[in-house]
Amino acid sequence: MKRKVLHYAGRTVVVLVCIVICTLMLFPLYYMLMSSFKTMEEYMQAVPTFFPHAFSFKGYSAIFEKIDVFGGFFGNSIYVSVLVPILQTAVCLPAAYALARLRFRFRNLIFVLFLSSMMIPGQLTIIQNYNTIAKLGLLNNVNSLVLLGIFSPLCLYLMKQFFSTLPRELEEAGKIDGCNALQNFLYVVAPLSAPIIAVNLILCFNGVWGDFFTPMIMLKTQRSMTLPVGLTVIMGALRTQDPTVLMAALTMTCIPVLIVFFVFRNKLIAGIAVTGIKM
Amino acid sequence: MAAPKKRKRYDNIGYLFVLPAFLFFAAFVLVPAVLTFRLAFYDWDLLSPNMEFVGFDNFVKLFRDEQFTTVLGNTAYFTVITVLAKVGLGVLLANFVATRVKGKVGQFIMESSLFMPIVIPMSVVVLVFNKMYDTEFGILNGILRLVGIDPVGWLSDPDVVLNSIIVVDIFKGIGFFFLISLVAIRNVPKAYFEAAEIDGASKPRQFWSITLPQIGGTIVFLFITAFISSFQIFDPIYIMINGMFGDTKITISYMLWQQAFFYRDVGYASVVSIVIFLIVMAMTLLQFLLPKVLVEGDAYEA
Repeated sequence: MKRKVLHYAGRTVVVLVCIVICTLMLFPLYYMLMSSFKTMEEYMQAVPTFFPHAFSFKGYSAIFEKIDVFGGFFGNSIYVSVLVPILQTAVCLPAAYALARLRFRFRNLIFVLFLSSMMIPGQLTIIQNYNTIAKLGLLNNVNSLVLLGIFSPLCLYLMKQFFSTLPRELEEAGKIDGCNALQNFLYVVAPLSAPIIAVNLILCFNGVWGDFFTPMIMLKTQRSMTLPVGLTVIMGALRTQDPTVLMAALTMTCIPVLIVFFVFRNKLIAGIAVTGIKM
Repeated sequence: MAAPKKRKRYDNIGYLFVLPAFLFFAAFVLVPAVLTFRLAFYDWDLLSPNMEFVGFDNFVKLFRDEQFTTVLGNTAYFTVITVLAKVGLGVLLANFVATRVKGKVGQFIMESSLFMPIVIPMSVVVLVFNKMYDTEFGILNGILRLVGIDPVGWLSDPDVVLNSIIVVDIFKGIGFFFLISLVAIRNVPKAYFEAAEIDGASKPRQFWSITLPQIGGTIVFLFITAFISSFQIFDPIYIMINGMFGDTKITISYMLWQQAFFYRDVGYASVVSIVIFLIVMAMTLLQFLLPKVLVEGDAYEA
C-alpha cells in the first residue's frame, strides 16, 4: 500500500515537472501566436490577457495587403535556405570522405585547418568578406549568402565522424570489384551516407533560415533582405505602429521551419544517433 | 615518408575531393582571417584607400582601455552561466526524459517542446522576447503588475539587461544540448542499467556511475560547442540593445562589431578579434585535453 502511494506520488512529481518545463519552453511561442490574433488595443492594455477576447486578423491582413514586402523576404529566405544546403553537401561530402578515408599528404593539416575555422569569429572575417563580396558586385544580392555559406567546418566534422564509423570492408569489396577511389565514393559510400546527408540538409536549412549576422552586413536594400533581417525593419517597411503585425510576421516566419522539423524529426534524431557526435 | 622499403600508397585523388571545399575555405575564411590579423598593425577606417602602419599601437590601446576589462567581465559572466546552464540542464533534462518519462506520447511532447526553440530563427525568438520584456506593454511586467510588484526594466536597466539576454540564449540553445545528450543516453547499452538495477543501485547513482562516464565524449563536445557559441554571442545583443546604452560595450564580439562598423576603427577591431580567437582557441584546447588527462577509461573515446 505504502509503496503504491509512493509510486503515484513519484509519477505526479514527474508529470508536474514536465508541465513546468513545457510551459516555460512553449510560452514565448504561445505568446507570439496569441498576440498575432489580438487587436492593438487589447495588446496595449495594462492588464495582460492570455487569450484574445475577439480574434482579429488585422495583423495578417496588414501583411497580405503589402505581400510584396513580406513575400520578398520570404522568397529570398527560401532561395538561400534551399540552395546553400544542397551546395554545401555537394562540396563538403567528398572532402569529408577524403579526410576520413583516403591517404594523402597534409591530410591532417588540412583537417585541423578546417576545424580551427570553427574558432574564428564571424565578426573577424566579415570585414574582408565584405570587401570581396563588394568586388564581386554581390552586395545587396542574396547570392552573397550562398557563396559565404558553402564552406562549413561543422558539416565537415559531422560527415567525417560518420565516414569513420563505416566498415572498411565496404571499400575493399569495391576495390576487388574494380572500383577506383572515385567510383568507390560515388557508388559505394555516397549511397550509404543518406542519414548524414539528411542531418546536414536539415541542420543547414535551419541555420541558413535563421542566420542574421551575414545578411545584416551584406544586404542593405529592402528588396534583397532575408526574413531574419527583414523582420527587424518590417514595421517601418509596412509603415505601421501595430505590434500585432510584427507578431503575425514572426508567426509566419516560423511555419516553414516547424514543418521541416516535424516532418524530418525522426530522420534527424536517427542521423544524430548514427553519427555519434562526440570528441 | 615512413619506412623506406615499404612504400606507402597515397590516394592522390584525395586532393581533388578536398579541393572545392578548400577553395571556399581559403577564399572566405583563411585569407580574410590572415588579412584581418595584419590589419591589427594598421590604422584604417574601412573606407579610405590608404592605411597607416602603426605597429603595436592598437595593442597598447587595448590594454589601456578600461572598458575592455568590463567587457571581458561581462563576457565571462555570460559565458559561464549560459554554458553551465545549457550543458548541465541539457544533460539533466535528457536523463529525466530518458529514465522518468514513460510512454511515447509523453516523450514526444517533452522532446518537441524542448527542441522547438532550436528550429525557430534567433531573430524571431529575440523579437518575441523583446516584446515580452517591454517595460510598458510587455507581458512580464504585466504579470508583475497583476501580483503587485514594481515593473522591472528588463532591457533598460543596465544591471538587469545581461541576465535578460542570458535567459534568451538559454531558451534558444538548450534544445540542441538536450537532444544530443538524449540520443547519447539512449545509445548506452541497456544491460548496464539492468545489471545496476539487480545490484540495487538507485537512479541517481546509475546516472552518476553509468550514464555520465558513458556519454563523457559527448559532454566534451557539448562543452566545446557551447563555449564557442556563447563566447561569441552577438545576434540577441545586437537586436535587443543596439545603440541603447551609448558606449557601453556589453560583450566582446559586440565590442568588435561596434569598433569596426560603428567607429570604423578597423585596426582596433582586429586586435579585439585576435583576442577572441586566442581565448577561444585556448579554452577549446583546455576543454579537449583536460578530460583526457582526468579520465583514462575505455569508455572515453577520442
